[in-house]
Amino acid sequence: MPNTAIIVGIQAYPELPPALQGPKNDAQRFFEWVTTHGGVAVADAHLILDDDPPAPTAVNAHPTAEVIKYLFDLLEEEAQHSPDGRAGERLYLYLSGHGFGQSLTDASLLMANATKNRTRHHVPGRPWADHFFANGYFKEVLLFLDCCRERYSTATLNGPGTTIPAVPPAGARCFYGFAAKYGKLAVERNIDGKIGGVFTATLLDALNGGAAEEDGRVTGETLKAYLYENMKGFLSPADLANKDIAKEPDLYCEPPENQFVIANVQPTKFNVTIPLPAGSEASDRQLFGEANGKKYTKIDSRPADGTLEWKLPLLRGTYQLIVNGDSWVVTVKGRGMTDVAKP
Amino acid sequence: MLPNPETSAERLPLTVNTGDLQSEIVVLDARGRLVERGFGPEQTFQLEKGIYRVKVLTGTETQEKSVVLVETPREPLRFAPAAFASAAPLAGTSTSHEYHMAAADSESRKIHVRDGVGSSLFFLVRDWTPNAWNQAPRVTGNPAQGLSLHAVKGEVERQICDLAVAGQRSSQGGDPWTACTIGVTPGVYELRLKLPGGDTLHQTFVASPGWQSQAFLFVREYASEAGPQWRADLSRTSVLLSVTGGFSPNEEILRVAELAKVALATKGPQGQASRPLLPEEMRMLLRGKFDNPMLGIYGAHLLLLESRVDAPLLQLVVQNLRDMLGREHPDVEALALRTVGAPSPQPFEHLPMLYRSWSLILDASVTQPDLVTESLMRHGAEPVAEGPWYIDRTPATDKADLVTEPLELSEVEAALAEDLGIMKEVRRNTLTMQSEEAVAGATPAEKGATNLLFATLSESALKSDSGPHAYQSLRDMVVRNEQRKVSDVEVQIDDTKLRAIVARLGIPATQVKKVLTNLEDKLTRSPQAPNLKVLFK
Repeated sequence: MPNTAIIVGIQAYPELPPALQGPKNDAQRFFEWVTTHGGVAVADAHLILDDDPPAPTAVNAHPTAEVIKYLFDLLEEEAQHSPDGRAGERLYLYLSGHGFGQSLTDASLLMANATKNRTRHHVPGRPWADHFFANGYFKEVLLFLDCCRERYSTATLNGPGTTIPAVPPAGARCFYGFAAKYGKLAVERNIDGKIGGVFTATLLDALNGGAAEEDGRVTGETLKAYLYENMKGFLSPADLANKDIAKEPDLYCEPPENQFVIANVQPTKFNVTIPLPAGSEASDRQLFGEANGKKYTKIDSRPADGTLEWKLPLLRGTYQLIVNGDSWVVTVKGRGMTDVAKP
Repeated sequence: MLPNPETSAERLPLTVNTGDLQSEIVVLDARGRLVERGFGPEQTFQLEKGIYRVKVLTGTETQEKSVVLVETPREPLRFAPAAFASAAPLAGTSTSHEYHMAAADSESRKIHVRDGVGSSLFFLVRDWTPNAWNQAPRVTGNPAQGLSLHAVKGEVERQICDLAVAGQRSSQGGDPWTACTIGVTPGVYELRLKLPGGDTLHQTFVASPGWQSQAFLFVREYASEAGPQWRADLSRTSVLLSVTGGFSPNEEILRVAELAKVALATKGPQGQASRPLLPEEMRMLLRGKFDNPMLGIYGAHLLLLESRVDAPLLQLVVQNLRDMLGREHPDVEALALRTVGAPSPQPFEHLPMLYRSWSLILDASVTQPDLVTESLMRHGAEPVAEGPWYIDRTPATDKADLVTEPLELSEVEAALAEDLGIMKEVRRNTLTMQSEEAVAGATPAEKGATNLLFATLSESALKSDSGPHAYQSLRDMVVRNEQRKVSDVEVQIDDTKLRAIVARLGIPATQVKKVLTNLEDKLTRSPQAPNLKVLFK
């Protein structure tokens, strides 16, 4: 059974400011990842973008919720008429654009024909993902929603409405990622020369190896750990000071989180330069941390080299630096950003 | 001989000390994986030797420290009490000016409007900025502009006062505030906020006998044609209750109650997870004769969100709340619906203050059709997702267009039709992908009307460079789907399904049944939709 992806990127909302510049880039980038590392054949990855050139008015703008829901219908029908009740092994739902938060546990993507007073043109993420997950239409469901979760004057939700079984089928797994916690704003920024969502940039860094264990597995547990820690790395000091902007995503993974292997990729080792404390040029240095299944082990040691820098490749994580008999904590974050502080 | 720290699997104690009993403690390992969770004010974890990051979450604030655990620490890892954001100007919060505290303290002890006796409502609406004295105020109008208090009983309603006119407004510099205390007879009242765009928001406030209900509101910007305008932010309201008839910013228990509100606003049902939402110290507080009713209401809701409800404690809390506030408080009565052994509430004629309370009422309406009075069911406003509070909105104008024009369904009817699988059949009939020949021969209008899916997906397939492959895969699914057309849909609705519908639409079961009847009629009349037959089990 194939893996399937439905990837939606909407940035031209004729009657819903402010204008966005990132969702199409993000959707394209996720499409590229899912068809190269995500296990989805190109034929089963449905990339849906808004009108180009943009529609002049909302009533003529595409895509609409009806189109997305029709795709959902097709998958549901495939599942309900297949011998094992499944439409495939894994479903990716990736939605990027304007959105709102209708509850503590969900967010919705506004469709291109939405307006401030016509928010009913939306696709809620979680009810549809739950629908495919809990009914066993796919063994694994991954939902990524890169949109704001403002508390909107929400419309009645356009969910699938089926009674969700309380207990999902044995072995079923899901991972849901929202770019913002309830009530917060998701933002796009210039990242690697292109405008894109901060959440999607972090997600793709994670999936491309940033969140990988030493053996290359990106699990639900490591993806959560990476996303929680690293989204803020793309935000400016002004963003970080703004209470409305999301610094962390909102994530849910069906337990056991470390059993859900989302991808197998080469783990990213960052070429890190650790600044050493003043006066330690003539001191040996040691680095401890997690490796080879041990929570605390020696990672590396070097004799003094007359400098106040130590360059070495490291996985993301928190390490203990011992130099001059003193202990420091070194934190290596996504893209190799490194902090050194006293514990 | 000392064991080698690298190889020893021995666990070491790490004691974390926080300033608040409701602080949540999260212990992450060196790679950021979650290792342990707990609550303040002090918790000891047994951990493998390693490097950890300890996060303490207090209200809206997060503090973090790293710790290298290779030997038993001599001292607990200490975190100072966090100054979290709160609309109530409490001591030790990050959004309090001393002059706001003083204003709340003094103005809550005066009566600005007398409409009745036996209870009172106090409102403080304010802006807050970090450096208020060094800059011109960003809110130049009255912070309470657009706010009014109303008495609503059945179909009869009466405006009691306009808060901006009746209240005391700040006359000094700094961040502006307006305060207003209204003496009222005990009962349920409605605060209304007229927005710049013309919509009106409604929020319930309960005046209990002998108590003063205190509401604290920040302001926020709302979009309007004339540009952004500052009005009260109902979503971040803080509500406290005082039996002394005045606000005391230094009262420690108010901080605890405020943190419980933040927890309620940010935690959902725990489902299968066995994680508690209330620390043991908080349970002990609720087990004792607590004297802060809002703390009891928030605490009882948090108990209900846990996967295993502590029924005896819930029973005790609800009994205490009824003893303190009487049997007229809709939030307390909503909690009683879930309390084993509690006398049944009277039918609800007012909306509760908290959204979670309304959810309890909706859920119970499935098996108790008369639980919500006719007049409350008729109130036509639509709920707005606004933090922990139940807030609804009356639009300035009626909604002009309908969801599915050919079927002429209202928004709720369309959502219900989606729930029951009707819309899936409608889409099968109207959004089919025609053969390539038919598309080639169609006029642009025909394409636009009937081939939306084809147009959108085939174009996007080209954009993704997957071209004919993606189109072929989709076309195969569409062809199979078309062969499964149905003419009638029969839906059986049992209590479980009705509960799910009621929860999602946010309206009582009796109202859902009425909408279903209308939907059956409309679909029977429509040639484009399958007929619907609903059977209740």
